[in-house]
Amino acid sequence: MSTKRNPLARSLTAALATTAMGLAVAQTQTDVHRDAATRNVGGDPFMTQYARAFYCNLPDDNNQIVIASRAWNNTTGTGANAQYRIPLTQIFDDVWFIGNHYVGQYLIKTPTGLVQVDAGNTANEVQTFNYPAMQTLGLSAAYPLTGVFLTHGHGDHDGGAKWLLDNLNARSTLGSADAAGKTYAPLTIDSTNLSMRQMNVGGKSFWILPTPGHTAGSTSAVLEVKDWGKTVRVLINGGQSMTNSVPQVAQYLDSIERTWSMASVLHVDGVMTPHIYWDGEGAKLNEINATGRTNPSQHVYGHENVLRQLAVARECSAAWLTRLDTTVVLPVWRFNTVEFTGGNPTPTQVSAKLQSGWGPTANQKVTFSVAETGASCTATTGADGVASCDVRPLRPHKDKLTVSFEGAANASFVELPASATALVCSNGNCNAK
Amino acid sequence: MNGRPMAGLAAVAACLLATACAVDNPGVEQPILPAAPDYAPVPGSTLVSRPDLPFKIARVQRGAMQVTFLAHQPASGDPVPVAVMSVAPSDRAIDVSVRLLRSDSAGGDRSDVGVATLEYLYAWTFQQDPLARYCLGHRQQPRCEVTGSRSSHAEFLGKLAALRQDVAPTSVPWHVVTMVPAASAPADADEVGVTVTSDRRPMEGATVFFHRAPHSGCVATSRADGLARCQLVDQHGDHGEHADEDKVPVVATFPGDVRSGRVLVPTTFILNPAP
Repeated sequence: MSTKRNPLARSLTAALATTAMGLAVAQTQTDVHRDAATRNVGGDPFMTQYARAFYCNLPDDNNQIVIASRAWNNTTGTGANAQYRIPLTQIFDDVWFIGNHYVGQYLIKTPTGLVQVDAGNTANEVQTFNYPAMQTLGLSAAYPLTGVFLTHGHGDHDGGAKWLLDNLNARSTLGSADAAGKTYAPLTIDSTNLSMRQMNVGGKSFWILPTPGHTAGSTSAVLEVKDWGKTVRVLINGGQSMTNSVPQVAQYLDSIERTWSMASVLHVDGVMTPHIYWDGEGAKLNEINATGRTNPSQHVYGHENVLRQLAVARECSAAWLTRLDTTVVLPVWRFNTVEFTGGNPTPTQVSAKLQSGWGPTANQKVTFSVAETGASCTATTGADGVASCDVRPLRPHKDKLTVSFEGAANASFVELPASATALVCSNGNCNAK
Repeated sequence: MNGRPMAGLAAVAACLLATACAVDNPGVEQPILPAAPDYAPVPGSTLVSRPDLPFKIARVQRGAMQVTFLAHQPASGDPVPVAVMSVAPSDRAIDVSVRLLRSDSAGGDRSDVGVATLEYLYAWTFQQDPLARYCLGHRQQPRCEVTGSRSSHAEFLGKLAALRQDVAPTSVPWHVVTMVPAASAPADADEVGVTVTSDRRPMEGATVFFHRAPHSGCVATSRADGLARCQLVDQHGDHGEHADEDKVPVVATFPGDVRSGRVLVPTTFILNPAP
């Protein structure tokens, strides 16, 4: 064999040497969680470009992407600065976005008036942009701005709240822990009560969840909107980005975990994030303005993607906390998906595969059930992640079969729950009876 | 699930159940647990020498005060509270009171559970507010509210480390890292620095994170002379937009370093702004 190796061999040798070197150096907990965040993305390039990159900005030592995004926070919008603005853009039947490419507000039409999420950077900004936008949407004495929900008390979210109070008599609602010293007399949400509950903001029902961490008074919310006539639940994240403070990051992590629970319980499908660059909503808004709103709306990310994004956020937060406190040991959250194998289920084939970014999820119980008849069976996944059993009766073209994994946990991992539903067919292809 | 995702969503009934605390000492104020405490697994820590001993925590909000119970889960029966931490805002700062429920005096419980309690407490306390004031009480001393007896975060962590060393002299020793302000005057308010020492010697290679509210930070690695210095930057890009930032204390955090046979416990230090 020649001593002159070809480039491929050299590359392979180099790669092997690098791998060996990597294995020789103990992986830190931060590395483990950053890797978990990547695995939880599931190969989605959009989530890689946005949620994965921004939620992991600090553990990736890549805060420059946040600083660069901050440069888009231009509030004048005149002349050359017009490029920073996003015009009033309808994202749902009853919701419009207005703002710039860094931060924006959502205007919601209700039967009795408008409700706004966040209050802009400054009085001048809301007077220049939001007020005319509201007029376009029908603002009048008979159709007022009835309330403002503030995600938190930073100036880029409540800078125009005083103007809205003084000029439109609209009270803002803010987490109590951020309310000290505010001049706009906010109605407060008890930030010490971390439970999820419903509240009325200007006539619109919000599920609210105090989520301290970004600020002490950050509040996340879920609300129902209409998308082409269909009711959709959307998540408003109360505040993104972390600091170098251990207690704040510990709170942030806890808040992300509770937000995941809220989004799961309420079956959230969509997102309405004030910082639109964080999870790619800015790109969606550009798309709406270029080619129109799709059905479903671009802001309907899908339930699985909303939960996946939060699982990514959780792992990024865990990665940062374990950097600031190298002694804390946190289990890794694994985002699982389950899908029927061989196309739609049939009476003779009830089989599904459970997997995550780590590969097949083995030795876990999954349940197959039919809501219409109550029939069900339970099976355990094999090494290939596949489980199968008999569900009887199972009626083709009538029953919908649901496969569900309730989740599992040990000291090292939290296997997140997953489920899928499909119509039972006679041959795995419902289009060909 | 590991208990955390849903823990905050459960409504907590606020009622008294002193018997559940397994501390029956007439005349001494009892810790208050809800009738059905929503126990969650305690977060793990590499500081804990016996992770096989099961511990749990339950959090209760009482008005503005947050009370957290640390409980040992015996092989059979209900969890037994071993420590309680009360975090309460006061007029000037946040007050944190910690009570060891198995100790009758300032001396510690030398059992395995007693040692693990101190180790979990250390890990737990490290994640509390570094600007708060801390005090340590025991079973016979329900209150520790005398202002003069309160410690800084770093002092309190040091006390816990010393107590753990006292009750477990043969276990893997904990090394306490200390930080003091850098000797040379900073060029501006955004330049921050501390000198890091361990075992009374300058410590080289220590990572130190700096944080100034609302969201400025930087990270430095200490040199051979122990100096760790860096320039604060606003992590949200709001540089220069927050008034009086230079009048806010800076928190320096040593994140700990646990390697085989050597434990450097995490700690903090407060750099107060120049008057």
